Amino acid sequence: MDITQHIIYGFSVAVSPENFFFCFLGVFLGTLIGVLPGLGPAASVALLLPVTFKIPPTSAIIMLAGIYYGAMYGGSTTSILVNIPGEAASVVTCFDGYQMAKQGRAGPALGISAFGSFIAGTFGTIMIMLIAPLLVLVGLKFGPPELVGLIFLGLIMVVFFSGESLLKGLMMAIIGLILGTVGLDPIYGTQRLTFGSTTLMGGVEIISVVMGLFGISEVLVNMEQILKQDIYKGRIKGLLPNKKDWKDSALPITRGTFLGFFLGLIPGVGTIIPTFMSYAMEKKLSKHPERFGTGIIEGVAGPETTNNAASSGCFVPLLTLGLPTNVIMAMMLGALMIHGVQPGPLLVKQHPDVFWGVIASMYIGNIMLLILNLPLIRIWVTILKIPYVILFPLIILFCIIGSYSVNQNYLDIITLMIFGGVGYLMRKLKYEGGPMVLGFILGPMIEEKLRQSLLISKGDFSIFMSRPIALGFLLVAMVLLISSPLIALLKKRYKGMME
Amino acid sequence: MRRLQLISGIIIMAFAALICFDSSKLTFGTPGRPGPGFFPLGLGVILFFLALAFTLKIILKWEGDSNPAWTLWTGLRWKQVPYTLAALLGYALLLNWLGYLVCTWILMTYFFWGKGAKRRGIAIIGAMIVSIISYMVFRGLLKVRLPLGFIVL
Repeated sequence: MDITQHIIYGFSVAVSPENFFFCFLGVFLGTLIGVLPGLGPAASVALLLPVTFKIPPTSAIIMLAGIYYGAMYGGSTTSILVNIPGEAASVVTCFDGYQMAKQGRAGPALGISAFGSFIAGTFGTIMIMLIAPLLVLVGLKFGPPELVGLIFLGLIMVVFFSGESLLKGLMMAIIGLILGTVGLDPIYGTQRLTFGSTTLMGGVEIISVVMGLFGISEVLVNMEQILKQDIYKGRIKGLLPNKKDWKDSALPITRGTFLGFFLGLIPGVGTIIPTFMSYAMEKKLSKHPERFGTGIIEGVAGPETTNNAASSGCFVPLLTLGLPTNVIMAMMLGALMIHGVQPGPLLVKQHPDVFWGVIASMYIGNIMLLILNLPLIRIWVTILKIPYVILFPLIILFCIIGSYSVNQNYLDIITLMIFGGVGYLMRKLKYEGGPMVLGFILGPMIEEKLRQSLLISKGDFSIFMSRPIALGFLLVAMVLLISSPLIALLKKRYKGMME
Repeated sequence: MRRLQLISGIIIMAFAALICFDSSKLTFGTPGRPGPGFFPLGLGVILFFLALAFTLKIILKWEGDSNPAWTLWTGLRWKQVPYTLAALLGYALLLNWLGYLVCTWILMTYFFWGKGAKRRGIAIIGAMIVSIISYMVFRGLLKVRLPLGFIVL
């Protein structure tokens, strides 16, 4: 089958009534949760992960993908109307979006972010269709040593981009890997790190971990703060940007689309860094940089386009190489594995419905978002008015049901509580949860491939040096590890010189 | 803040030591045929040294704690956090006995009333509505098996 036939097949899967419904449900719920301040896309996906267990894998991933890009879409609404970003990638949108709203131009700001996101999403989907099959061909040449190198590089990149401290990121990734080893040994069936608990024999429950780390901890952090719901009170009118808005936004949208998609392909970059880069780039290229932050449409169009393009780009390494580039992709990997689907180069052959269906659904989902969101903006504004006293208990209840529903075991709620508390402290002490979850999900995979590699080489670790691709991955990872303290040192010296 | 970071480093070190101790009881195997203890023990050792490096880094650069730990919670309603976690623990322990409907009703009443609902009656009725509707949605529509507790008895 050539690419056209694959695409037609993908669309035939995506438009089936069941998948179409779950795509709609995903983008709707994603936007809904994205609109609510204090709940980011990671928490949204974590909250809704258990819902997908009862449905077929293709529908599940279509829905989760919809939740992800729907949440990205919805995040801009709160940035513009409340000056509180719905998710971290929408922080930049607050700078000019809220100012535009204060000037009575909330409509065009919301409109251009919807159109920009749609254009980026469409471009991203087309690029996935073109790039993914090529990457699959490369991925098919990977054996266990190459996969060890790739997973190791992916983890290191996520750690590298995750926060200020490399050491903290590494510790979190290793704690995640350790959590992934809890349970029965995959080869010998021996109990490992269960401390005599029969519940732990099946491993630590992933749903409780992610819901605790991202859902409960986010609620706890928001709960202790006295948040003000200062919502834009004016009437939102004229959602369609005018001719001048389009003219001003055309180049930022184009640049944001390319920048976001290609940065999204890189593990660890995620969606936050590209939006800041887009804003900085637009400011740099602008003829009037001093007007940025005062409410100009370029400051909304560029970053909003970039974050959606980046979220499309993130899917490429996951679907083609089985490599999650951020925590949300790691959760999707977990969801696929729970359904018995192993993402990676063989996905396209073994589960073409998942591979092409998900890609095609992203295009359909983007159209749905555009059609849905412009008319529904007034509903989203109403939802923003739900008091936190009602919202937070409902989120906690959802987390409880989500974690309990997997095994009908009350101990999973205790796991949820423990990881909620741990996640809260991690946020306070600036430990990143992303590397931990990524390590947790990738742990069993990297262990299996490492043991296979050592079996192949009869215990000779030089197998990782003698295979060029594996060596390449490991070298890049080592360069990143070494360069991080050097960069910190250079920054310090530069700061000293400036002072 | 530095003091808290230091404590976190020591806790991680202790956790790594626990992992090393527990996985040392497992068969390590040989590099050519790694046993069940190979991976966890290796990870435990790496984590221990990373935590040690982190802790030493803080100690060696110690210039006093200009930003004490309690400032992280200044002006915040921090008591909400342990209360919420304790409520979750209580919920988990009582769920099978009291059942979903009663347990959720109590939990939601606590949240609605304790966290800002102005009238006790509204909190109690609101919690009851949430508990019944969520039961109907999850049990009825999504077929999630939620315990009924003593109601069944």
